[in-house]
Amino acid sequence: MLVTSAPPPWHIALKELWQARELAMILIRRELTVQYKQTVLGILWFILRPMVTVAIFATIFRYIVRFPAGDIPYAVFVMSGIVPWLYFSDALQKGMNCLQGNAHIITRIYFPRILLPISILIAPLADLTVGIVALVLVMLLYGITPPPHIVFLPCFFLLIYLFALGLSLCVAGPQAIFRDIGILFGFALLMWMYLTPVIYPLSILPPFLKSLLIYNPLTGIVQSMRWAIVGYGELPVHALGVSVVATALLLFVGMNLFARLETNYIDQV
Amino acid sequence: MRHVITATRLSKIYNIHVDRAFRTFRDTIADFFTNTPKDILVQKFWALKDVSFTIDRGECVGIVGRNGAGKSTLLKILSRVTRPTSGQVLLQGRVASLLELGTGFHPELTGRENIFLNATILGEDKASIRRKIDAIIDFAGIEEFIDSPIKRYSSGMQTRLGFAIASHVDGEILIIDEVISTGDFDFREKCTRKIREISKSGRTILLVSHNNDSITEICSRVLHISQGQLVQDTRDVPQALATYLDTPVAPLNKV
Repeated sequence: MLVTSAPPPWHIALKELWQARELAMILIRRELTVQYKQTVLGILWFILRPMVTVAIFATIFRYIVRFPAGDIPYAVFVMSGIVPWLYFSDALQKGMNCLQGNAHIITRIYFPRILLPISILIAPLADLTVGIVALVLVMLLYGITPPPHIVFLPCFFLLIYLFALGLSLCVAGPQAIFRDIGILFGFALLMWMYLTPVIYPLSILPPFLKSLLIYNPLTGIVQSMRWAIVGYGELPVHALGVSVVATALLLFVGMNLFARLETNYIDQV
Repeated sequence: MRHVITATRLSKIYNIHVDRAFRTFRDTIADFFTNTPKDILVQKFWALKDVSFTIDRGECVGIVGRNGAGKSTLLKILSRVTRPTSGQVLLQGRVASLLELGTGFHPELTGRENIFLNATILGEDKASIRRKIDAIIDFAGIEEFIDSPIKRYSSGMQTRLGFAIASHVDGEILIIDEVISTGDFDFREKCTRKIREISKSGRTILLVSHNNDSITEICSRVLHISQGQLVQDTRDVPQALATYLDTPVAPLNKV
């Protein structure tokens, strides 16, 4: 093993990552168990958290602002947007803080640190799954059955995971050094949700805004998940293409940035 | 290969921000626009400068030096926690390290869960941790607490558990930073015995300690670091310790 001022070349980094796969499992399990430790309801929160959030949004937007949701009940529409959105915002906040939150470990012991965001973002996929199961139950209650193309759902799980990972990798390093970025991202997330067809359908927007929102990578992801689970609308091919390209780009930039900044951060703690 | 560690011209530069505790994004933007010269804001110093040495398999090496001399920086580079600014290290075999106190435990997880987390990070697989876990718990002497979260442990208990894990994994190189001196007398004895035993099994040990008795008792070679530079590398342990004690406290080695 040769240690120099540069990060190890990518084939060695990959080999190290593969050797650390057991550690990844432990880190994922740690995320899952730590999340609801010292709570009375414990594991029940997995189900309650998405349900309560959806209930709040569904109520607000049902009685205060009413969006037309086509031929499906608005509650189902909003839930199919909120559930993936919750994953994204949860994952991004955890991923962004992965260096800072684990400072006590990474300054004392070495392991491939990219494993942190990789495994931290896998854990909330459990919440996402529970949220989708809850959504399907609600759908059945309304008499809607999921379409056959629900089999494509795992692809969109992978896509939303990789997109959140790419963005986390880009932001984690800068955020660890300048904490301001975390605060700014809090506002950005708030805005971002309203710029994504989470609580309203794209069809209510004026054409120019609609064509603009397609370039928000989350539009494609949220719309595709809605298409896969509820069968709402068509597969948004154009928007999905944007999401895939953006994800690839973020992953590429993110991995380089992360490799460069992780040691900078460790030297500044 | 006889050498398990080959360090070649290792250097590490650290920054001290002169007028601020830490830098914010606003500072970066402000400094960019006001064009403040960088060297006024940031003072650089050599935490390590041109350090070269080789260590053979099975050696037990003590590293001595004043506070801030660069001992911990050296161990951090050897255990790969940080990278050198220049120079390189060639390591043959797995490194198990125990740097500072706390050793990277997760406060919310139990002692048992932390053993799995920590030992896995140190490269141990699940089956072998299962095999060793009783020995680790027994060595740390914390049976009653093993299923409570680490945050309820005293600092002594954490140190004991940290040492117990690091000394029971199979790394070819064991790096220990200033741990033995923190435990009580009994534990210190136990550590010394354990380190001797590890050393006899042919593994390589690097030890930082301010306790000269431990160094004399355990080590067969001493590296003396001052102002980030290797000033002495000898197998004559008592003589090295004597020179070290005579060395006055040195100022930072500024760049």
